[in-house]
Amino acid sequence: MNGEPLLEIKDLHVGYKTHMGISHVLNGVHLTVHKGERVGVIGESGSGKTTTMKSILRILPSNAIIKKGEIVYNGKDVLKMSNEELLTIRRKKISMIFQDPTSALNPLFKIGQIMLDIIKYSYNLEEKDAKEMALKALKEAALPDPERVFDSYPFQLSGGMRQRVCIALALIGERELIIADEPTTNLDVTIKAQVLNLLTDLVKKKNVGWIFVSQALGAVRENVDRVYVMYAGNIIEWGPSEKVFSNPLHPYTQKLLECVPKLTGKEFAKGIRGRIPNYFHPPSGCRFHPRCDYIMDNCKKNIPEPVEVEHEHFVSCYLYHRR
Amino acid sequence: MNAIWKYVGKRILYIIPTLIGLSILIFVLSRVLPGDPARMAAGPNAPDWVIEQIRHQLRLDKPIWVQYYYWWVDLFHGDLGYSIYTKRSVTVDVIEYLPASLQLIFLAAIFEILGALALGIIAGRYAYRLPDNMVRVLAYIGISVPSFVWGLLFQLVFASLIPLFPTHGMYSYGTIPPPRITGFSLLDALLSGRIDTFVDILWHMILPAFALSLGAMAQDARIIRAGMVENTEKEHVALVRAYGIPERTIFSKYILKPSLVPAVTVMGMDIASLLGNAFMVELIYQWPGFSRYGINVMLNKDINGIVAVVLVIGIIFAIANIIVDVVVAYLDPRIGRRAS
Repeated sequence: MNGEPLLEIKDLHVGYKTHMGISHVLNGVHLTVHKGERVGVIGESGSGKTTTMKSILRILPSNAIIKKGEIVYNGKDVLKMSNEELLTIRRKKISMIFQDPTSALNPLFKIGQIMLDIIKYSYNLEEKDAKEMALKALKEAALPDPERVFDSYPFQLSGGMRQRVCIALALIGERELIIADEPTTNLDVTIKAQVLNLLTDLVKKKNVGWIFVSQALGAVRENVDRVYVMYAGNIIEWGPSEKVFSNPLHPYTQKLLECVPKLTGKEFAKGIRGRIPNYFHPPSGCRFHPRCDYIMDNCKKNIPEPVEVEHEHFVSCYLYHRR
Repeated sequence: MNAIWKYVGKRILYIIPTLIGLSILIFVLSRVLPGDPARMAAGPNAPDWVIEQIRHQLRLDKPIWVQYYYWWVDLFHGDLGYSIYTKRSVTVDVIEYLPASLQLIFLAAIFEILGALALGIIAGRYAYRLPDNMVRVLAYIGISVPSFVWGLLFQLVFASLIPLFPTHGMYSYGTIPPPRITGFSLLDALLSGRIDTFVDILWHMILPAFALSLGAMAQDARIIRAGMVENTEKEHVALVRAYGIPERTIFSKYILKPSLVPAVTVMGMDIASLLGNAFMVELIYQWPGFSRYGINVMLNKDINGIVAVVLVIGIIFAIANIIVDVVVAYLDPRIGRRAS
């Protein structure tokens, strides 16, 4: 990909302290987004996608520990930033759309109160101008009657409208990067397509950097430039979207793509044998080896180095080390 | 605004059947329990005709529904019946003793609310750290030790060993009580312009009110703390943090408000139950209050007194309930709107 990197996550290790011990979730995640680039992240639930996204803005739950790694944004490491610098990133540069709009909006505050607070701290505006800015964002997110939405509590809106409100929040100001963490997973099937179209259109129109985390593989395929495949806290394959989807290399990616149900098919999707590992005692070596059909001795011992199999299409798997 | 008034009106309507039910229950209970109130009032050596006379005076010689009917007739004339314990109208007793208890409970409620908020917020703010651990230990002690033990302990420490506060009563020796205007001695002292008497009464109230408030304070501090710890990890807090709202605002606004909703409910009930729990503290501090009166009428099987005491406590619970409902509806818009 041409252009300079906007965001570069390097070797990120994040765990969670629990009463059962430390759960080692992220195990060396890396991810790059260039300016104006649309990047997809796919993988099973529980593979650490949300943890990675929340690390970028440093909004992880209080029991999370960032063990090592760098999150370089515009040349500066977010993890080493001062509070002031971090607030600037949160207020002006990166915005995030959360998975579940119902739990992401505080039920005791009106949409307008939350929006005004955000705008007030980000842009130091008079109440009147701040409200105008909020209404403009709501309108952009295709909410009918923005005045009414502004004056509503979250429980007075439908799920789809709530997610549009969250999209509106992400649109306030001129952002450089929008993170959408499974923005349609918790919506009704009938609304999913609408919200997704709205979001992809806005991203294209504004030409901002975009990280699209989703289980909806078809939507990812059509709407991103490059895609990362995540499994159990590792990036196992990445490359240009059309290459990864048409020629999946990692056994996990192959299985994951087979899982997409086909309306025309007579059979159910096969699924993948086994499940996401226990993060308290993750498997040694490649974390996918207990579920893999092509397991070799080396897989249990070491984490495979990435190999560039075709131009800009990388995979971390010993199957491609033989040559 | 309109919705909230409609909601309040509805709540007030709901308490009427509750109170009527309560009156029937306590009326019947007070009369079917073993023991003859007339015999207890007259004494073991009284001749039968005296007993009969008292029975007639209390209408105990009539069927119970007739008694209940006349109780209502009397009530509409402002009469709660004759007390065999104080030998006068129960109405007079209520007017005399209730204000003293209410003002004690009012002060205890202020201590309770302020203390619970302060302790709960400190513990929530520094969750799992030293201040939180200290509050948790304090709260544990506060919940497990009954209020009369606190009452005795405070008398020993703050009145006897370190004589900061008086040990009992409402006034210091030699103080002439203010003229009775409202019945609330604090208010009467203020109304008649006697600031020194006001301070004197307040001084007498601090230890009993504090002893009374501790149990509820500890419980509500724990509820506020638990709410804050829980809400800190909510997704909506992650959202406002992600958009650069400073931690102070997140804490004092987006975490605090949802944490107060469950606490307010419990607080209201705790404050209402202070009236019932106050009797030990009132006894220890010789406070001329309603709870002490309540325990005395129960021990003397004063049927009209018992009914009046239970109903007054019932009314106070009902009022506390309405206040709680309104405050909760104000804090949590989902509740008020849904009901209307």
